[in-house]
Amino acid sequence: MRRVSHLLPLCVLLLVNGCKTSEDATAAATQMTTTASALVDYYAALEKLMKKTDELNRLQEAMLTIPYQQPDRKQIADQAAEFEKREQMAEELTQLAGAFTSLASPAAAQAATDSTTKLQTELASIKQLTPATDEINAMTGAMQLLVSAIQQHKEREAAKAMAATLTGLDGFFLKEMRANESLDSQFVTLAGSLATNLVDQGQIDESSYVQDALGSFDLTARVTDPGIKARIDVLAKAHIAARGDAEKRRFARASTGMEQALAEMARRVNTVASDKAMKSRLAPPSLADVAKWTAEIPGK
Amino acid sequence: MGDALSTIEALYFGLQQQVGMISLATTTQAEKDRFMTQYVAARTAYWACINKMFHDDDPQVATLTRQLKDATTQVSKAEAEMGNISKVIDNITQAVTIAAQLSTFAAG
Repeated sequence: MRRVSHLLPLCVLLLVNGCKTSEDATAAATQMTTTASALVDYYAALEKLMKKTDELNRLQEAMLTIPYQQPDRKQIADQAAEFEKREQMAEELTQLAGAFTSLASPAAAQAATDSTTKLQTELASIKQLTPATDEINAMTGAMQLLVSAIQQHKEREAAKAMAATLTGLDGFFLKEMRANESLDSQFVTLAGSLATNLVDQGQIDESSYVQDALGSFDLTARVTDPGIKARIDVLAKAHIAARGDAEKRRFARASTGMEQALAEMARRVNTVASDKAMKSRLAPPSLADVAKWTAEIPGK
Repeated sequence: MGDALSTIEALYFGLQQQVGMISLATTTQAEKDRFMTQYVAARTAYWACINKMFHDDDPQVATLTRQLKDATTQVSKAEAEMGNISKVIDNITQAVTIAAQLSTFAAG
């Protein structure tokens, strides 16, 4: 899945290019590696979320007899496929960076051309269903310059074109962020609705809610009193709502963090390509929010 | 895209949250079927719109967005009272009809 290790050779390009400091070039390559890895994870988690949405709708059909047929099934499957395309796009970008390993060799130039062709195919496919067509056009144009620069062994131009590609990617991501947040919210709302319904129908075991009080004494709960059960159900529904809100906030922070990291990566590669010193050599701290969210999607 | 999507979200997410309660409130199978048809239509409209471009500057989109906001407000009010389930479903039907119209303006 992950080929982000291929990003590391970007520092080779930047070093060949005569950067101000080799540490800056290495830091830029490392940041790209980390950020690209997070982007692959982000899209993979969203794809997983769409598959779980499909499962929840099937569960809703079973529980509440709400029909879940075409075209809804296809729409959700299509959305999962869209995220898979974006995941592949992120991986192709890392492949492209991997071709920077040995720019002097004809094989590397050919590999860069091949990667770009694949990436452009992915982007053409993505372009059909996104509001970010301008940003995709910008990325496609930057990649053409990138391949041309690599084939002509113009390393500085190649690095600048890479920075332009990353700027396009950031714009693309930003354009889709609102829709991504909506998709996370619909999942959380649907899951919360089904959970609340199960509480209302008396289909949860309230004993788990009192275990904190009994656990220290090696006692096991057996809640049977209807009054206590009813009051615990109120707690359970509040818990469902609070957890849902927390999940939405966590995803919003992850999306913002991902966008900030992409923007930072574009700036940093551009800085190094322009032979200027970077202010920071650490990976964007906002990526921690992405990791926190992707780690919470089960089965990823 | 934001405003038009937000109005369709408000309708669909609101119905998601109330689906269990409204189902329980229906008194006949015909009412229940009518509600479920509208729920499914709202879901279809949402998925048709998601991740597609809305041109909010299109006067028709702006008009439908306003109408849908008003209709969704009526649904919320009726749900809060829940006195007449048939009236609730009528309000939902009106809102979902507008949402379906709005979703046709989502361009891939």
